[in-house]
Amino acid sequence: MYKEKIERIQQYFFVIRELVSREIKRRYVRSYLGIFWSVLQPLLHMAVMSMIFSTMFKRNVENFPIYFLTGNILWSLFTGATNSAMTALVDNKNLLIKVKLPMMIFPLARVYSALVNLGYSLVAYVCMLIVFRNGVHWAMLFFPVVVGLELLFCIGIGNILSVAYAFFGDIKHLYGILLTLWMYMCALFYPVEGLPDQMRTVVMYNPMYNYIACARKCVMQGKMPTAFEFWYMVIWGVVVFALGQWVFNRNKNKVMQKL
Amino acid sequence: MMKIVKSRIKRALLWMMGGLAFGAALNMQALAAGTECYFGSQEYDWALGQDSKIAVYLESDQVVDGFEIVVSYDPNRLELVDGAQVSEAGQALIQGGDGTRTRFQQMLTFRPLAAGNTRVDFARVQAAGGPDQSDMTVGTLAGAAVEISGSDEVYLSDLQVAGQTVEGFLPERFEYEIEVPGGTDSLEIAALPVTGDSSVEIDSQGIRDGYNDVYLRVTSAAGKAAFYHLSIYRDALLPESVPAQGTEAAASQPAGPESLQETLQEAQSGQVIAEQKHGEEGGGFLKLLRYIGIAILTAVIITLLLGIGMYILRSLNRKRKLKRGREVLERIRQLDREELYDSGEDWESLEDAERIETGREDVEDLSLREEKRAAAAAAVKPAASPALAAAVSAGKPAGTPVPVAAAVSKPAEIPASVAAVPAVTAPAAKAVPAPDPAATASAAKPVETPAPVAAAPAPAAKPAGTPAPAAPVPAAKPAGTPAPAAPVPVPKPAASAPESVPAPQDEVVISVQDVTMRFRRAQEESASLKEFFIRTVKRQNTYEEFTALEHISFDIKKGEVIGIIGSNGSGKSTILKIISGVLQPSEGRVVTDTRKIQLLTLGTGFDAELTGRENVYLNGAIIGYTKEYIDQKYDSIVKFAELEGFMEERVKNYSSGMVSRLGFAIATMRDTPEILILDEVLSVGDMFFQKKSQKRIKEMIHGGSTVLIVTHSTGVVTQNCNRAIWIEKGKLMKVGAPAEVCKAYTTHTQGE
Repeated sequence: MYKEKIERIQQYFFVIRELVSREIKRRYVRSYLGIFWSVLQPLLHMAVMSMIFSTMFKRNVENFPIYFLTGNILWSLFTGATNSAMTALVDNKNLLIKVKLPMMIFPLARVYSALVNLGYSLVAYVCMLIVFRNGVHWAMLFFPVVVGLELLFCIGIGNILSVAYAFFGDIKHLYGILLTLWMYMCALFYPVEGLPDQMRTVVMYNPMYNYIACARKCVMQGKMPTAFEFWYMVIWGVVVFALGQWVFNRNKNKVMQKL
Repeated sequence: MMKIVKSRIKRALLWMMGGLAFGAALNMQALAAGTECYFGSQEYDWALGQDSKIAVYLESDQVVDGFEIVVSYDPNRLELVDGAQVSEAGQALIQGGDGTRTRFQQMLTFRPLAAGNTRVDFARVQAAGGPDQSDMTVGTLAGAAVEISGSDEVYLSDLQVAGQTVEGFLPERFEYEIEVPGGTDSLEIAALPVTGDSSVEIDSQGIRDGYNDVYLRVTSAAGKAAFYHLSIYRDALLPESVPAQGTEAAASQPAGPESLQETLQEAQSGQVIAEQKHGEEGGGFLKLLRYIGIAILTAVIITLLLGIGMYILRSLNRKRKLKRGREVLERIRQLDREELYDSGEDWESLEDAERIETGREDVEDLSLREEKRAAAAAAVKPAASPALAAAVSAGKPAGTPVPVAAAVSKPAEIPASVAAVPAVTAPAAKAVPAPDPAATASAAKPVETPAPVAAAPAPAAKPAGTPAPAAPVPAAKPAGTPAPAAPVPVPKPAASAPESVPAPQDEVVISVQDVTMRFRRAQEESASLKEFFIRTVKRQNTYEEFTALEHISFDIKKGEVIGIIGSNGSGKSTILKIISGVLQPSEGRVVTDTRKIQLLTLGTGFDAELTGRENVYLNGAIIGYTKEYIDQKYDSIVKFAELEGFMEERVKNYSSGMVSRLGFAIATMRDTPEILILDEVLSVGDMFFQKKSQKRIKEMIHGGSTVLIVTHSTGVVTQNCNRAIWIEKGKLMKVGAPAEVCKAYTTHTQGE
């Protein structure tokens, strides 16, 4: 029984991997450089971004390009994962109706694909860390933990959105605007210290900012997050994940009928 | 074995990672250990004359009993108003600590005295506390940069060094970096305040190699002040490159505010300011730009190199590709021709004609079935205990259980070995040209020979076989029938499907109990949120109930082949989805083991942009195969689909026949499941392929599984099924023998 379950889960992982590899292969199918773009594109993007943000919006933040990029890759993970997970159910309508797979596989596959993208961006990110002479710290080992917790958060939000999107197509546009607002709340390209007190509290309690701030701390300053920051990350991740599961399972049948 | 080890290692790794994360969480406190002192921010923008606050924090992981912080500042620029005692000029002393808290905050208020850039730093921090009340080490004492903005009366409108405006000059910018050539002995600095009545003082102590600080103090008539800071870098002097101009300038221009102003006036009135290129503006900024430049350059170079590499590879491959492309086209064209040829004939007549023409197909069919039987008979052996129970219930002489079991297992072995004989001989017979009557006879012979042998164990095998339906029951059947039919080249009974379908058992595997399915459909679909809200508020959100299925009940027994027919939109597919567990019924229930069900659909999730090989894996994964399984079966899938040499081609270049062949090959390449559901699988693809797929499906049916077929075609139902269910507009119309139900269905559809 136990073994069977593990086998089944392994099979689902296989499905997810295949779905993701399809998406990645599809993306570069018409280009000459193919898969290299996955690394090249973030590298060039980062080069341009660091140029813009170190010349046009120069702030007195130490190592500003890295400050920005650290926040940006985590933010891209979040937007990439939630935005694509949102449409996962509707896009895979045909598969869903015909095949006996747990529905959750589809949003999960989208989140996983965003994670793979993050992996590629990390290659570029490491290049940038070297170029801008960011030191090597032990605390950097904590970075994957931050990503893992953020992933939980993303899966939760993605699941909720995918269900909501099946009922209302409007969510897509609304969420786009919400994301813009949220991005400015994440202090991606400005220091939080410069904000008025009220705004600062809002930003500080923003879960996404917390993930970003923790990542910056361990990569740039080589410090571990404080216990508060750590538990704040864990609680948001786990609670949103659980909420996502609950909403998803509750509405599974309704979505099926709607589709 | 390897797999188990691998999964163990994986699990161990997972545990280790989990442990690490947990450990990290526990260690968090320890790692963040120590005491820190810091300002609320690392930079402040203040305005001249306005009292401004700066927060000082002390944070520790232990209770602090007492602390002393000394903050240093420039007394010429800032005046401490509140928050600390001034211990000496430019030193603010903060004391505190009560032995109960770990975090302290103190607000200092400064009054900016002069505009310009300055700093506030920690000069000294001491703290004591913790369990042993010892001195604490205080980490990271980062200061804060303060930029004080002024107003026009203290700003400069122009700042010149060596007769030239400093690059990047702005009245409100207080910091400049300048580079001068080696050998420059003195500098001609000219500054012009915005308002006439302000005065400028220059504080310079000559110039040496390296960095030199020059401060300019602008004082307005009202006593307000601003400091401009020039950081001047002089290159080390190389003996031969002494510029004559530099010394000249030094000789003719004595330093001093009054004379400087004069020079400036002169320069403005007529003197031509020499255009001299300043090499660099600011060191740090430039470095940054250089790095970015390098990064972009590297990226571009990598791109170019990769591009060139890819191009070369491509052009190398081009010839081969072109050739292969031509081959593909050729094959596709050929296939199309075949399709054309095939579609000219009726499917039924084609099969009939073939059946009469030669007995070859049937012999082959038979041999396949014999193989299956052999396998099934072998399966009886390990299943000794259910066999025993069956034997007892069949009314066998009740002896001690052990001898009965022995008696049962023994005959079960015999048909296995017997059945293997024709399975081996049949392909040999096939090699001989079929139309030859002698050869046909010899092909039939091996079927004949086992007859007496098979007949002997038949009575014993019958009860033994009950749990494995495919095994002895049909084994006994052909043993009797082909014997008289042997001289006739058409062994028809063996070919027609319904007769050879194994007799159903009594065990119910799917029980559909009073199932009703309703779809709630909004009468006017509110496609947008806005509409939805408006409707909700107005209570106009009425739904129309659409009933797809109404109180449907039927049971399916193990080993049955059931055909579900009905016109389009009658709810056939809905019932299949409910049975397979994809949908939940609104009312009623379905009792079945969904894990045993295999839903067979063709080409689900095929992606035209991917190659055939990639699609095999993608499609296989979606259908539910594991990677190992696909690896193992890959070659036979390709072989069955007859796509050798096309697998690296994109599916979009395939003909539709090729796609459906591949889809079918993947879908049917599994070991026969217990319950098989076929959704319109038999009516897909061209004729050429239908023949082949029909055979494969028959094989699967004879493998002993319970089969549900959904179709429009009555032909498929009468040929393959032993029971039919007709559903029309969500209602169960008729259940019974296929011929009967089909007849009723046809008359009904024709009547409309």
